[in-house]
Amino acid sequence: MPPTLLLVDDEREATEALQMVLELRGFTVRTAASGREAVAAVEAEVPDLVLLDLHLPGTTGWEVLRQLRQLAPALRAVIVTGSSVEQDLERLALEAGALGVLTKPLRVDHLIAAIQRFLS
Amino acid sequence: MGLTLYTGSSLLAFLACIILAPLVLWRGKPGRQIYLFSGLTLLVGVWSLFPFATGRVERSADALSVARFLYLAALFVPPLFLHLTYTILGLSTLRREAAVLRGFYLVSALFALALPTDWFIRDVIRYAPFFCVVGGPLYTAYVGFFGITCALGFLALLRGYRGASGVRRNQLRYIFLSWFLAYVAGLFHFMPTYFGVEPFPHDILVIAFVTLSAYAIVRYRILDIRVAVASALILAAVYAILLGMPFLALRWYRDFLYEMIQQHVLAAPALAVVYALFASCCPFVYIALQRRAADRLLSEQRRYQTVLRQAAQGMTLIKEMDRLLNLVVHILTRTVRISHSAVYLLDTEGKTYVLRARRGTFGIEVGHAMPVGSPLIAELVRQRGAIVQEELKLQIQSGGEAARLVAAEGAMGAIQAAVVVPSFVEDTLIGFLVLGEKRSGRAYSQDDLQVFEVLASQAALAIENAQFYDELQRTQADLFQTAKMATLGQMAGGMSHQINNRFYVLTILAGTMKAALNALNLDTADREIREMIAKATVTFQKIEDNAIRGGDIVKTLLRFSRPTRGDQKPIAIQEIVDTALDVVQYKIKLEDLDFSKEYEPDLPMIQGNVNQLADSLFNLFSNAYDAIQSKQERLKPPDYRGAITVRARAGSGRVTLTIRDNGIGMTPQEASQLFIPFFTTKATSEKGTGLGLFIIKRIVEHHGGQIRATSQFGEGTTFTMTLPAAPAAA
Repeated sequence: MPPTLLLVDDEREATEALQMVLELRGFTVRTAASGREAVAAVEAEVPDLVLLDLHLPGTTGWEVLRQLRQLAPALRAVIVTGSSVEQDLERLALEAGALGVLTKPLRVDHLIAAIQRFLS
Repeated sequence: MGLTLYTGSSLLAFLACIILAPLVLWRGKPGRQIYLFSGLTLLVGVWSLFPFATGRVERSADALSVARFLYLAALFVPPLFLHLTYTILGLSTLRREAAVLRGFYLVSALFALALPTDWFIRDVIRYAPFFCVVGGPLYTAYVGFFGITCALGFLALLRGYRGASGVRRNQLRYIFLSWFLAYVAGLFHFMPTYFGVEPFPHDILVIAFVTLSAYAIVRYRILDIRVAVASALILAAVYAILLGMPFLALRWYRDFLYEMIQQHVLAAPALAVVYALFASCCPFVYIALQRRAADRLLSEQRRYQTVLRQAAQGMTLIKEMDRLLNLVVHILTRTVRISHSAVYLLDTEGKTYVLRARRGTFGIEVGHAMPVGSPLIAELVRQRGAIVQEELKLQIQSGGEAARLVAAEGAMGAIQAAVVVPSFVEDTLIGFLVLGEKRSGRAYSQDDLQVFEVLASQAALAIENAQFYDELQRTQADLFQTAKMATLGQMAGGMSHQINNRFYVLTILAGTMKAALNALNLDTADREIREMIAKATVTFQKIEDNAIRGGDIVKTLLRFSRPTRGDQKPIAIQEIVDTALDVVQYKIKLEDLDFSKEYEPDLPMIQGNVNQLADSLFNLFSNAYDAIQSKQERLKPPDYRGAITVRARAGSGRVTLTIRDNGIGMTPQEASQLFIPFFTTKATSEKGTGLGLFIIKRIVEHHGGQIRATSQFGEGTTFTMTLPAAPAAA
């Protein structure tokens, strides 16, 4: 059974494009453009990996992550962010229960490699 | 018998001697030298009384007794004279010289035994034009003894003079001159006995001798020798002429005056008044002449003293510190004509005095530091005035508080200072001037020192002004920079997210298109379509690459807009280089290069942040590697092998690190623009944000250092980074 991914990002254009590529690579991909959509998606089915943007309308990725982990304590999540101002992003992510951080922009190939690494 | 020129000058010499002897004892530094000098002055004074005293007594038998009594003093003049000479030269304790002195005192004592007999003085001639002794056989022996002592004294002086320098040489020059006067005076005293003539009332010379030698012994360093000689001679001449003139008048117009006194009741008192007028004129005439002579003799000194005073006044107008300091040393060296001069200033932390400006043949580089605890600093604070090295040496010789002075003197020697002049602002010693020797070889006078002190205190004011001005400018610049950076930081923080997201969308879209195109089955497609699609793939790849590079630029900008935190501690250069190498190995295969490290032994630590500095070095290594690659690709030199050399050396409280590569290099124009933000020699489509060196420069400057680059196209580039050494551990 192919791994399921949940992409949480309000950049719909990118998310949709990414969904296409990832599906080409054989992943099952769901998308969410807001915290609420993400919560709904996890309630429906717990994915193998969540790619979570920190900057979401009306909330932050950290808050969304907290809610998601309440739903599914063993949830695997990776923070994806365009912000590089915060220091110690890596440490904060680990403390919040995420597996790691990916910074935008990033190459599709690198992203896929990273997803595979986090899944294994 | 009234006063004549001869008896008058005799009395005057006697008075000068008995006044000077206790005066010198009182003013001079206690010691054998002063005792001997006072004793000698007294004896000479008594001897000088000879014409006056023998002239006063009625009977010639009494005159003989008086002469014999006075000669008791004269007999001991030669050995005391030699004793003083040896003491001044520091020879009196040597075995041979001590033996000579003992022998000479003994000879004098033997003469003294013969004094009451006719063997020494047979008779005294008075009323002749001069006063003299009719000598017995021993008298001639005594004159010979006098000559021998003088010869020995001169010989010793001459030897000492040749070996001396500076102020000491000046002192010996005085002494030589005054001894010479005394010698001539002695010869003139003996002349009438043998030749029946005395060309000159020799006791005037005695006055000159005692004043001059008193100067030489007590005050020699604060008066120019020429002025001292002129003063002594003018004093003698003025008194001799003004006080002598009435006697001459008396002699030449004797009958006329006698008649006048007979006829007019008031004539005698009137003459007395005239004489008193003459006498009271003496000091004024002397002072006027003396001042004129000094002005003339010291015209050179007066000239530079005026220049320095003017310079001191204008100094407070100069606001830039470096210009000010350079002006100070320039003026000193030029106008005073000294070998070198320099300025040390207290650093901002108040721990060391740092050499800030120098001129002339000074062997110490700008940046040399002298700790606040140095004995010289302690001495400057204690004396609150100029210190002359020669004077310290003399104080040490005369056994002052030796350890302290020796240390201070040594410290002066170490910075090649003949004179140091302190600059105080209130009670803080903010710096000091270092002066070398005068090129003329003359000693510094008290006037000089006063002018230097005025200059130094004016300079202190000006320096304080300039420091304030510098600080104001720096504060303003810092404030502006901080505000700029804070704004940029905030802006960048907010914008980076947005911009990164745009780049993110671009990379994802381009990556997706690439993936989609790759997934197409083109087996049945036309060649034309296949080519189109291949081209499109490459284009999407380029879009992706550019978006990624855009993201890199944003990251770098962010890093530099963030204020650098001062997490600085002492670190070894080697550690920084090695940290950078650890990281750079992921990018560069060091085996492909000749990589060498050359460290000078005993390098001091530097004060800094390892991460920032290692980051900077990483960037420089990485640039060097790119330059080497570039040379390989563009110039394709045969047998070329890339080389990177790291070299570190220390000097003047700094560590200089050079990183040299033999890569492609650049044109001088490019090299001059290297540190401008967003300037890059690398093709924009390749790599490089144009910020690396800009940020390195900021980091290095933040560490109080400097970085510069020299380069030649096709030959390579050298970066030179200078960082201040960490203060030595207490």
